[in-house]
Amino acid sequence: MNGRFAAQLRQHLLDTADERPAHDQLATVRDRVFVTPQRRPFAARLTSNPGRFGPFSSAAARYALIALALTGALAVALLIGAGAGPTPLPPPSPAPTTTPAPEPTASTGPAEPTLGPSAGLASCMQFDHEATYAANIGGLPVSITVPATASSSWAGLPDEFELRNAPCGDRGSLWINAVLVAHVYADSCHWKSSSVEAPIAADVVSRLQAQKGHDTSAATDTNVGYFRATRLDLSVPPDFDPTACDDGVLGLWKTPARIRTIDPGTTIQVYVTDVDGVTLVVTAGYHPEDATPDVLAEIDAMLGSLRVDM
Amino acid sequence: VHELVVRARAGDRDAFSELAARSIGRLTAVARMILRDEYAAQDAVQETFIEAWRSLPGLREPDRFEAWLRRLLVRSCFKGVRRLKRIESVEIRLTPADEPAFAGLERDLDVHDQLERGLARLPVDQRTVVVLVYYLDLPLADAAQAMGVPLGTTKSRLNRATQALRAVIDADSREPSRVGKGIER
Repeated sequence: MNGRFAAQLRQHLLDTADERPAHDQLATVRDRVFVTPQRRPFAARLTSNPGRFGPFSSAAARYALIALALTGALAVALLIGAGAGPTPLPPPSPAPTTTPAPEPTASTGPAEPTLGPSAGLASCMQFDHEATYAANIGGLPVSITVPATASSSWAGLPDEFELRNAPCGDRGSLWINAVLVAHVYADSCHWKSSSVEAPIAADVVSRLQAQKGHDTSAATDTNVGYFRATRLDLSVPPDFDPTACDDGVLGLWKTPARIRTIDPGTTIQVYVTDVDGVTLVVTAGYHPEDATPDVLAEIDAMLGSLRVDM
Repeated sequence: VHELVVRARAGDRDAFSELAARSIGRLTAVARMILRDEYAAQDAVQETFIEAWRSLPGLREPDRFEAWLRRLLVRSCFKGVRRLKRIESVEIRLTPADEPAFAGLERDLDVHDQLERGLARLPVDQRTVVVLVYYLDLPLADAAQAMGVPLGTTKSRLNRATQALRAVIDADSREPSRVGKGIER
């Protein structure tokens, strides 16, 4: 190729390159990274840097090494099958590890730990008739259908998955929220120093069951939309005084932007499910005195309509 | 970058976010050029960063981070192409190169348009090497590493790609007389 053509080609690529990331693309990456655990170094090398076990003098040497490893594995399997018996597993670690990451505080913008209306609610979407509400959760497009029989208007935030049974700007008495969760607090009252990692859905369930500071129902298997989920109901008595707790609130788990809290006198249905390797937590919250059979049926219908467009 | 990679490798998500912020624009541009599909490009970039974060503890040489990231991106793009092909099997996707051309307008195509059409027609492995060498300005050896193929294969792909691009331009330069007749009819 002559130099003129190469220069034309190079210039064309530079002229037409679009280096502007898509809207929210970086935020989506951050959200997904926040809830994604890293592989241990050995496993990471196996999957992404296979060449680092080399360099091998030839492909034959590499295949010979693989064959040797397979032979060894087969020999071990035969030994076990012949009666050597399984090796006892090490005991499980006695307690979850505490992550050193700094805690968001109640006074810093989007990390504000609140169940109340978000700052962006003024720009929310209002549904007065049957409609589908959709929002992106860390790269997962999640939707819920507001039924035609809804008891009131519902309003949804555009940038995070949160629905409330109230016109835009009002707090409402019911709310449905969905987030990706990978960090749960061990102690909901003293949450600032008790964040623990929960890499998979089962960890989120067990950490919530062990979480101090609220009443927790037994776990039950159920469905949320098309997904198998584990349900827990969390509640705090109305006479509980949280003023001695960190920032005066009870923290359940944290996401990159928000700390999910629970107010005294409220109940939260928590549905924990695994979606493509990340833990999606869907919550429906209300005050027990508002939980008429019709309200609970409305929540069930909406949760049953949850979809994730994979 | 070295310091950020070391911190991210140790599990510092903020450091990784900083690395992502620095490179997301360039990676997105590369993915768009290779895949020529906006949504597929966004998916490939996102998949690249998630895989990079998960596998980062296995990166022994922090200074190789950018090359390693490029390789992950190319791999994600190739996966994206396979997904696009599955979609195309049920939906006939019209790319600019496939769209019926208006004879009168085609005569006015400049070199940019010709190159754009030529790039759209290239097989993805050839388009990838063109992007790596002429947009990212990588030496052939680095491009070969990014694609995970031998140097000789990379050279032959680049050679075939540039021949095909030149052929498009040469063909267009011979078009006007025939196209002119078409206009007259």
